[in-house]
Amino acid sequence: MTLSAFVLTAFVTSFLTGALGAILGLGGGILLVPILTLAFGLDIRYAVGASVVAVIATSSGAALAYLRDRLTNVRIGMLLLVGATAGTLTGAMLSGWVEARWLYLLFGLLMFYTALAMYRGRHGELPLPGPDDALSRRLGLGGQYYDQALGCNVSYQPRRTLSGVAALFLAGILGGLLGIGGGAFNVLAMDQLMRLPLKVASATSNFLIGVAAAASAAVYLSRGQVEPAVAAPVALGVLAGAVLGARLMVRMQSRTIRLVFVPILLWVAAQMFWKGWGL
Amino acid sequence: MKQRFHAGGRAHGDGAGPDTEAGSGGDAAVEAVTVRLLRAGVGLAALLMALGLVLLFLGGPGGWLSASVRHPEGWWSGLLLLQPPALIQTGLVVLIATPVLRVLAAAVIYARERDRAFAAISVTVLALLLLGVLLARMGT
Repeated sequence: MTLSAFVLTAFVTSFLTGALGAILGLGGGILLVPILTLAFGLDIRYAVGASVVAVIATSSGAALAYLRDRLTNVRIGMLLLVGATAGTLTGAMLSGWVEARWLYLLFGLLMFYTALAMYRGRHGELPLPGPDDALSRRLGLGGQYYDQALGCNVSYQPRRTLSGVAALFLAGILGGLLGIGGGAFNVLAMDQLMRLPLKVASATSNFLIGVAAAASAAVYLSRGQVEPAVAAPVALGVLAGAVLGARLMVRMQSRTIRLVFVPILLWVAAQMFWKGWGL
Repeated sequence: MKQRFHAGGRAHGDGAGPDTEAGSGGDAAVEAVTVRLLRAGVGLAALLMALGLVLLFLGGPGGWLSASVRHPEGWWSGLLLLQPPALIQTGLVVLIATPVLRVLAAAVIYARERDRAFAAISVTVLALLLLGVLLARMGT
């Protein structure tokens, strides 16, 4: 493949993953690594380097739209980041001590289960009110936003705050240990555990994955694992895609987002089973 | 279009008597600074990377890039000479720095608003990020 053909296809692919990543709050690394390695035949080391850059580009590009629309809850994001970054560190330290294949199977199963739970709840546009969480109130984690799809104001108060932080800690371990799937768990934890509106969960996940990825991106960059000719078209494509995806997302209904989310989750779960089986 | 939505969202927020919790003023400030920071950071990063890519094409059949930018001296001289790898690398550094700066800005604003809990939380996140970089550097 010539350089210009590569740059063009990388840009277009990244544009699509950036848009999807911004809508779902996933970061897009899950989609980008297989494409770069399988379709472009790129060395996995460079693919991982480029995908970490893509996660940050998704986060920053989407944030431009989400903050204006008041979808991102910076407080929740910051609190969950403590769990996420501590988890990533723990995961990196545990690697070599833990048998990765069982973790792949375990997390694959967990993701499969949550994907089903999300599919079953696909008709709910907004979370139903539930038992109160004193911690969430004391930290002022509640918020509200104007939902453009519903045409009304939505206010929310997260539940099970500590469980959320714990889930993000686990997702961080997964990311640090296995390198995939962390972003998907963030949204699931905020949606299924903390019962945030899905759009708030996605936008807040986009905020925190960018911050959480910054440390590893700095490391990859200094190790020379980020090839400029790969990373530049990927980052530019993802940025443009994320800005567009975020604009689209604020106008979408939650159930539409769920219907896009579920097959992606199943795909990630399948990838984990695949690796866990040692294939 | 954009303007209308923005105004709409805000009007609704005010009408409903928004967040009454302490520190909500800090959150509005965090968001305002964050948007400005992101716009500047993302804009500068995109500009540098796009310039690098264009120059890469103009430079002819150079093919894949050299690893020269990994060394600080090569990076600086490359930047002064407008070499594509150095330009792209600088754009990447700016891009990677934006989320970290967001947390830093939040820490400063929460501290100034005397929101002790969230100032501490933001500083903890920064410390954990720094620790992650240090541990990874030690490991190699």
